[in-house]
Amino acid sequence: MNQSRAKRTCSQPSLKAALAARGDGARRLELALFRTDGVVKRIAAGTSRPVRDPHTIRALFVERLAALGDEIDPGFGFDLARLSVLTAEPCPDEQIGLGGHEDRAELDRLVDRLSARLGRWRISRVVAHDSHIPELAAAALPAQATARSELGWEAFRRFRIQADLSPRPLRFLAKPEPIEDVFALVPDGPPVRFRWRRALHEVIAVEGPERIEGAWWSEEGGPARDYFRVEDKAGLRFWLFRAGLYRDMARGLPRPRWFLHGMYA
Amino acid sequence: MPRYLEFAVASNFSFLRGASHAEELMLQAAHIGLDGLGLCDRNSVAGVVRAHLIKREKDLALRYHPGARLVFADDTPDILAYPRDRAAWGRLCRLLTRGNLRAEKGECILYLDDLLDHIDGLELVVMETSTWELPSLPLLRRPTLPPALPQPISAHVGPARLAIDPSKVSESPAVSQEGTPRAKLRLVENEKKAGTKTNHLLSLLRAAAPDRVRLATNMLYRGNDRARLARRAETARQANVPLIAVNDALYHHPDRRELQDVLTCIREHLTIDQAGRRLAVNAERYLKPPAEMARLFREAPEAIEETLALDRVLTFSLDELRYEYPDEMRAGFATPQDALVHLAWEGAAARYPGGIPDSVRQSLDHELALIAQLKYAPYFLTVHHIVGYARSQNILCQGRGSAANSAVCYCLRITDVDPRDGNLLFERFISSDRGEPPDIDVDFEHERREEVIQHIYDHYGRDHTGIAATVISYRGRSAIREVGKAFGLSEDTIGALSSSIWGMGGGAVRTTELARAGIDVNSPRMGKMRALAMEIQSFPRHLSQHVGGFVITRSRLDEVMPIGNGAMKDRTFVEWDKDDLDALGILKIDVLGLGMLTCLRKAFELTEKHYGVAFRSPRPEENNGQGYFALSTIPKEEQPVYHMLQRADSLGVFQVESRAQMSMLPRLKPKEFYDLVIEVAIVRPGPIQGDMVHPYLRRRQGIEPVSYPSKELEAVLERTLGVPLFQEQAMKIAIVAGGFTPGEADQLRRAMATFKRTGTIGTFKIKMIEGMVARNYPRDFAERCFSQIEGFGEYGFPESHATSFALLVYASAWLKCRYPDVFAAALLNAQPMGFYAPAQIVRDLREHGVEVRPVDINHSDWDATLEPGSHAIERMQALHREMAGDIRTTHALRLGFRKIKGLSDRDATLIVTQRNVPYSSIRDLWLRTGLSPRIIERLADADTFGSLGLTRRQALWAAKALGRVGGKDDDLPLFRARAMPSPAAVIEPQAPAYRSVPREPDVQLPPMPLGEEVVNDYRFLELSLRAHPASFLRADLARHAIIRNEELRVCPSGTRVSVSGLVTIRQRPGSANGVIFMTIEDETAIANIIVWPKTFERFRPIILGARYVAVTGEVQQESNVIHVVASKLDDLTRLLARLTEDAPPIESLARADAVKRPHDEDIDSRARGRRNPPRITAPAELPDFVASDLDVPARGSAHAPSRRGGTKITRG
Repeated sequence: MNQSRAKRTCSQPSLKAALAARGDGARRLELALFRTDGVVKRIAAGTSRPVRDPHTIRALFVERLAALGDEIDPGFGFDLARLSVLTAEPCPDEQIGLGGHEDRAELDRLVDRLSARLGRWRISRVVAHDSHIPELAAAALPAQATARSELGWEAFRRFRIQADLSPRPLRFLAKPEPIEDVFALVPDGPPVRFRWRRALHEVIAVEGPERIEGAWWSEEGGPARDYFRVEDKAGLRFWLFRAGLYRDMARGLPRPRWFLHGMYA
Repeated sequence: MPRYLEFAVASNFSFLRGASHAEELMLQAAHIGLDGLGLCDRNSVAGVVRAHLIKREKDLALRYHPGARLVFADDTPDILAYPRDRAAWGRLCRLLTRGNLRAEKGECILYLDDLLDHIDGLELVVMETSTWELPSLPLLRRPTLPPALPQPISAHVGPARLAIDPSKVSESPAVSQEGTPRAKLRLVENEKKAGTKTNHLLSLLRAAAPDRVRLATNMLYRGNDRARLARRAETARQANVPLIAVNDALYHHPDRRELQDVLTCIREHLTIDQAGRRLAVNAERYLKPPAEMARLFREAPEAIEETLALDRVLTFSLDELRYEYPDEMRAGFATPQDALVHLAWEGAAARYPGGIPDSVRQSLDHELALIAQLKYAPYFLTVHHIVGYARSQNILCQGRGSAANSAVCYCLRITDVDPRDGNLLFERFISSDRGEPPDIDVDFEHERREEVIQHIYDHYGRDHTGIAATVISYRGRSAIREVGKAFGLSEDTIGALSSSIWGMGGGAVRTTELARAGIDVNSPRMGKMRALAMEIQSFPRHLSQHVGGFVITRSRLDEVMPIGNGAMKDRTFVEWDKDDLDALGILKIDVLGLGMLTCLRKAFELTEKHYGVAFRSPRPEENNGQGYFALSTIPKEEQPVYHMLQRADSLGVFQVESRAQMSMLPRLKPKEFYDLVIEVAIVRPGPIQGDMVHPYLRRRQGIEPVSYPSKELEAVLERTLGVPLFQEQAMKIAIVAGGFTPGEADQLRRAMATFKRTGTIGTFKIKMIEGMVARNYPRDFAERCFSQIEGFGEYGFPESHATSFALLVYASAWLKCRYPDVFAAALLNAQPMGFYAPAQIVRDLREHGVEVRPVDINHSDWDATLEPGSHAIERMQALHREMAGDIRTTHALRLGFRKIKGLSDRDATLIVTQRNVPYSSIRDLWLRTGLSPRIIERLADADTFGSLGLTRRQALWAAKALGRVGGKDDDLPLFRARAMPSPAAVIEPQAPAYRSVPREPDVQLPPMPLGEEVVNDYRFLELSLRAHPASFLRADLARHAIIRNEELRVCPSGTRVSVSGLVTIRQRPGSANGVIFMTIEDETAIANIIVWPKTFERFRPIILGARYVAVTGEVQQESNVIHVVASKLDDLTRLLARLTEDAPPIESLARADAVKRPHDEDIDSRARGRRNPPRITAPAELPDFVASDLDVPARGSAHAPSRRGGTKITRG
């Protein structure tokens, strides 16, 4: 019942006409439901790209209302539903492709609906950041916010290939975990064995080190790290690093410590 | 013990990449025990001499090889090129020259073909990748080679012979698809191709240079170093070339990584937060010790060994660059020496018509023998030729510097310092043990120096002639600006910051200055910024050309050093600076411009024309039967001249016109020529830092007895009353009292210039002071001597140089004393030069009783001229009356059109040439000259129609009526009918709406108030003959108990007074511990203000920004020198605004201060500015000269160009 009302509101052509007249499309919309007892419920939804198509907009609110379920307590009914555009952006009329280049728009619509249903921050995209430091080199941003921006992975890949760098694991640990009982040659040797989560790993193959200095200009810069790709007897492949260089101890920096930062598939 | 040499080392002459000085690299290499170091900057050899020099100075045991890293524009990997021998060095230089001449100044475009053309004798190391980056646009100037070069170098810009698949090159930007699997595959293929490409390159190079090609490999902690090492080894094995280990060093120590990152940001115009992966991933590109390198390359020890093999085949040393003098054969003489001997004796006979004195005869014999022994004769002949050319064109010139120690130079008329007058030390000029070429600097008239320069190019040929480089370094403002930008400071903040830094600043970035610009100095990030801004000081930014240092060689210059395009067309310059050339014994002739010489020549012309007094040399045959102008013809030792100087009446006089000099003159009381020599030398950082000034003055005034620290020093210090004042004396003390050898003393002097970088000074200091103490000299005397040498390091005046300058002091003072009208006219016509603006020159002239007449349409020329008039003692200021009898002036000065802003030389010439009969009206002027009404309005603005009986307002009225509607035909009825209201009518309310009404009724214009006239004078002429602006404020000032400046003379020392005036000069001499000297001027006199640093901090905006100030403080009077020590300053600029009803006079009066400001402002905007509401300018950036040192006026001024801008400073 509610849904059908919402559908009808959205189908009002006036909003579309108003947006079209301005050449704009909506990026963020709000549906305000005025209950008979004076309570106003406000429901917002965002889009990946400017839209003004009533069906698309309706689909969004359908997802939102479905997600909210009983939270929208209609009481004795709503007197009025008002749809407002909170953020609008220019939306040039698009040529409809002849060759079926609609994938992108499809994807956007899916992202919008999922975001409407599950929440903006739940649907994210991983974007490359321009940094040498691994955990700063990628960030998960709401997919809606990044739909139209360059993700940066081409540049990332190109850089790694040109600089002839080893691959990194696809996913890192949320926080590097310290490893113990590390036996490694000073100053820059790889660990021969180490203990992680109480299990001892004997290293049989190793590549590295890849030395990455901290961001000296930032207070969170941290010490230099030497990264190694290692493989243990069981065939597990890890991505480890030693934080700190032995030569920096001369400058009063703390003794280097070892961490595990990720695993290769 | 492993042995290793590092061959891939970049110094900071790889601009914005290398992060260490060449010296630091050498010292560090020696320190960590490298067997040797090869220095190779990007397409440049600019840094190699410095490294060579530090090795020589420090006697470093390591091997050193100069080379270059060739960075190609055609995708070829970088190749390090090291010359095996002298011939190969020549080829390397020609190779780089080719790349340089192909590109704009500062760029070098090379192709692999260029290397193949010059490959003989070069040892090559092929690096992994190309580091070529497209330089900023616009770049690819097609090679245009100077036609003078023989064998035109093939203009080859096409594809190199190396078979690089062109599709691959063009493909690289097509990155959008690289994410797809197919693209990945292609990348792998490309990698393979890169391998084959390297193979191909290697085989190509090996064919051209068998056994001289090596493949470089590095271990830079990139994750898969071992795999890469194996791959490179395999490539090398396949190509049959040895593998060589390098560390591709960019700095000497890992700590420099931060600075290197900042350099990257500056290069990429990014902030440190944006730069991301463009920054270095780690700090491994430093000089690593052999043991560490051996450890890293433990799997390929042969790569380490190979560095030793390469070292063994490189035999070239920069010491082999023997200088070859240009061919200076003279017709009729077998050798240059014969010619020189003949010319010297011939010259001597002419110099001493009454017979050559014995002492001079002896000097000549001695000098000529030494010159013969050292084979310097061609050099003297070269200078003689250049000076001779200048004479033939009647261009005034004079040698300076240590050349003035030479009797030969005197007899060749290169210098005018009579060897009879003093015991000048020829050994300072040339000495057999120093093994250094003599250094003759010659000053020419600054306006005509270009003629001399072009003659040198023409005479010796462009392929044998080049201008020495000057290294422009980061200092003070530029350092903080660039580093601040990299740290993301806003333009505003940077602007505020750099304007609060005084000039060069000496390198320190003070926290107070940062705090004032709103920066949190306690944040670690800003702390880093400050530290890096200080670290980057003295890093070279780019090469520029030296003001006039010429290198002339007999063989091709481009086989000795690379040549590049200068910024100016028709100028080419070499990569090495003055010190580099000196160090290699490559001879340089300084062709300098000196404003005072221009002024003197103009003065000579005027005296000849108006007074019939000719200052021409007695040898008429030398210049078309007339003789050339010669300084030596000025009557010598005239006491009135000295009397004038004793009163500090020295405005405009060469060198002694600065505030510091003016306050020294009454104390020193020069009585004879030698006193002027001392005067010139004493107000210098050297004697001041050494605290030698006051002892000298006390002894001179007889307050303190003359004594000598020891018997042996008596001979050294006799002439200066026991106080060392000259550079030679300080050096001599080091030798006589400190136990230095002459060579060591000279090293000491050189070390001063570079001590900040190399830190070698400490050992000298201990050695000298302990040496002197051991010889029973008081410790404090020893310390003062040393700090004096420190001061001399950068601003030393040798006695001979001071003598040369003193000649100009005397000559200009003589003219000022005898013919003040001539002198002032010449000064005005030689502007910009010196310390003072035209307003002050004119004021001074009038105070000396000479009439100054306004610019007039019927009387003025472009230049200031002289008109019959009379000198009137009653017009003289009381202060100057005593010299009334000495003045021979019988003319009045007529200001020239050049004083009018916005009027061009061409317009003025037109006015003068069309003036066969006087102009009778503005319309007449307009019709005869055809000048645009805008120009005529400008003439009216400048009030130049006095001879027509028109006031400024009337003239403007009439000028505005010209040509508004129908041009010259605006009387035609047709045009009258179509008349349109002009924009002027809209903005000028009293003007009629329709301009074209043909017969306008006469209007009675209200007379302009005097104050407004004055303001307009300043606006359009930079000076006013009517009144001083301050005179209109007097009532206001009196209400504030502000006295007239002239009253200061009767105020006893210690009185508290308030004075006021237009700010004319602000100076902060580097040697005065932050004290600021201000000169302010009211209608009666100037007042000299001293501001202590503490007061300065409190009143900073006023001191830097105000145009008219009131100063309250204590009067100080000593030896007739009056100062006001400021304790409070008030900005009264707003009072000036009241002088006119509608105009903001502030901007125009500011002119009085901006002596050196180029006249480049938009004229129209200034004309319109009159209608703008008053606008108070914020404290602006100071004019350059305020920061300049004692006696060293602004950049661009020609008074003392010598020891500035030269390498001594840039190396500091």
